[in-house]
Amino acid sequence: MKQHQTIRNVCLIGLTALLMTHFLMTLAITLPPTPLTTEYGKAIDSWMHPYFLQGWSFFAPTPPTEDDFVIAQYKYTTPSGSTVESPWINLSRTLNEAIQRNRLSSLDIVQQTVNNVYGDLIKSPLFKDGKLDEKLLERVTEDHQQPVPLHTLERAAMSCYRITSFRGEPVAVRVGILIHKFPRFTHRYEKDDPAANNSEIQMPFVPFESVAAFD
Amino acid sequence: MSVFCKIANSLSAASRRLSTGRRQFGVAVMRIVLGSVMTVLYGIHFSQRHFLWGADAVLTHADNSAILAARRTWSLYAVFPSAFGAECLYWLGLIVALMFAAGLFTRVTSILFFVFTWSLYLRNPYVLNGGDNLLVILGIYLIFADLGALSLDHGLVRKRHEGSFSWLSGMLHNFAVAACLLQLGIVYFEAGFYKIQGHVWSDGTAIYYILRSNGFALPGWGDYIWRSAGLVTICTYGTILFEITHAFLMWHRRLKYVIFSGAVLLHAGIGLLMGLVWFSVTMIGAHAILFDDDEYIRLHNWLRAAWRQIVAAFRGSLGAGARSHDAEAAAGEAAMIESAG
Repeated sequence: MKQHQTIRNVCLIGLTALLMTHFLMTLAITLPPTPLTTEYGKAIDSWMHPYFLQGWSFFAPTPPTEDDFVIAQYKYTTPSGSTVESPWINLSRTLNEAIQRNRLSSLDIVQQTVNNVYGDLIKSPLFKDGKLDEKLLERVTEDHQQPVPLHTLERAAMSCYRITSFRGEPVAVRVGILIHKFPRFTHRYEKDDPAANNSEIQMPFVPFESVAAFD
Repeated sequence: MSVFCKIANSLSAASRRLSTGRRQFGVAVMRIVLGSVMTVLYGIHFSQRHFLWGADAVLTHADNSAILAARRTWSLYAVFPSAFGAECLYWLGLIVALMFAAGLFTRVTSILFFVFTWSLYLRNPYVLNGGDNLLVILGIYLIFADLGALSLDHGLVRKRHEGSFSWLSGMLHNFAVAACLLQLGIVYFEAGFYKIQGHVWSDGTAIYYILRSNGFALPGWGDYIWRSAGLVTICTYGTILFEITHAFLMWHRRLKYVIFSGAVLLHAGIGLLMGLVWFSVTMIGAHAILFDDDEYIRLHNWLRAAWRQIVAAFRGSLGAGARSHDAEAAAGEAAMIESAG
């Protein structure tokens, strides 16, 4: 009986130590870097990766202060046999409006995918201090070595071709980013013109691939 | 009594107290919510499954393998990359999520639930939001909890004979509960901690920018809020205040009700106005762990009494209706007899 109790006590001490260590690691990985966490960064990372990765900043410290839209342009062969370039299509706005019409739409996950891929793209080596490294982009596109987020965004655009009104066999696609600055809080009653205060980044055309469609 | 003996005695008392699982209803409600969220997600994204997770998905298997390698992790979808494999895994994941929500063979399904959810999310990490991240982490802790309350196991599976090591199961359960609580506290603490560092949060305008952004806008309702300086300021500061205090007040016996109400209000707003419905359901469901078993029993008794009162009132009104109907019929009959006479 006494031996049994000792085992219980040892388990209690062990589990308490484990819980405390785990949540100290969790705090260390969630809070900004300190000299202590920098020194033990590797140990903390190896404890937390991959199952306990945390990221709970939720629109902090700065929420979006502009609209970043993913846009796409297609090259397709018309029934008469000529290859034409389509106008640019705003994929993000199309998906956003579908979710605004129905909060339970299954397109929410497609919208989220496009948003998250875009978020990853601007953190990729293609962008330095928020600016596109055009030489690097040219090189990776020629070598068909686009970073994963760019390739994924291109494939998302390929899948969206079927919801456009273009009729013809798609040949190539290119994606872009349209940044629209909406009015600051102090100017909130001013009319927001979607065609004004915009800047664009355009990627090169890439050949079409086979991608599953979404409904 | 020596200090060592005192420590040993209090340790023994603590280990005895922690050998019986607590907050069984809390973890059961969490299990039901998390399992239901996954079941619904599998269900409503059924038509998108090839695009998101299939063999020809938006994220190619080659790109996915690069992500998995960089994160030093795995996914069953990478082990079975064919269209047939992805289809089988999807259906199996749906069945497991359903079993987990219903509480069938919870010891096994809690592990399978984590394996299939992890595999699905890691097949395409771009689908993830904060709610999914929390769901996975809580899913790991729930593997160690006793999820037998409010489950089909309770009625269908014969309770195992309590062995000499049943205390270990109770102790693991209690530590899993503690881990869920601490994790919940950290989520809100970090969210509030980073918000106070942002200038649009501290000047009280952050909610304007979120609701104005096309990706989170709800034309009509959202406009009504962002046009009002008062509502924008209240919502912005209210969010910060709630998130910062959450980690500290959630442990208080009475103030946790305020925290729970705040969580329901905040996440209902996020779900409706910003369109993050399933994220919100997950976050509210995670709060089920705040309440202990006695509180759930009191809630159950209160609901049962309220239901009985409603039924009694309904029957009473039906009876009164029937009585007045009978009286009318009798008066009509008497009038007919009189007129006939």
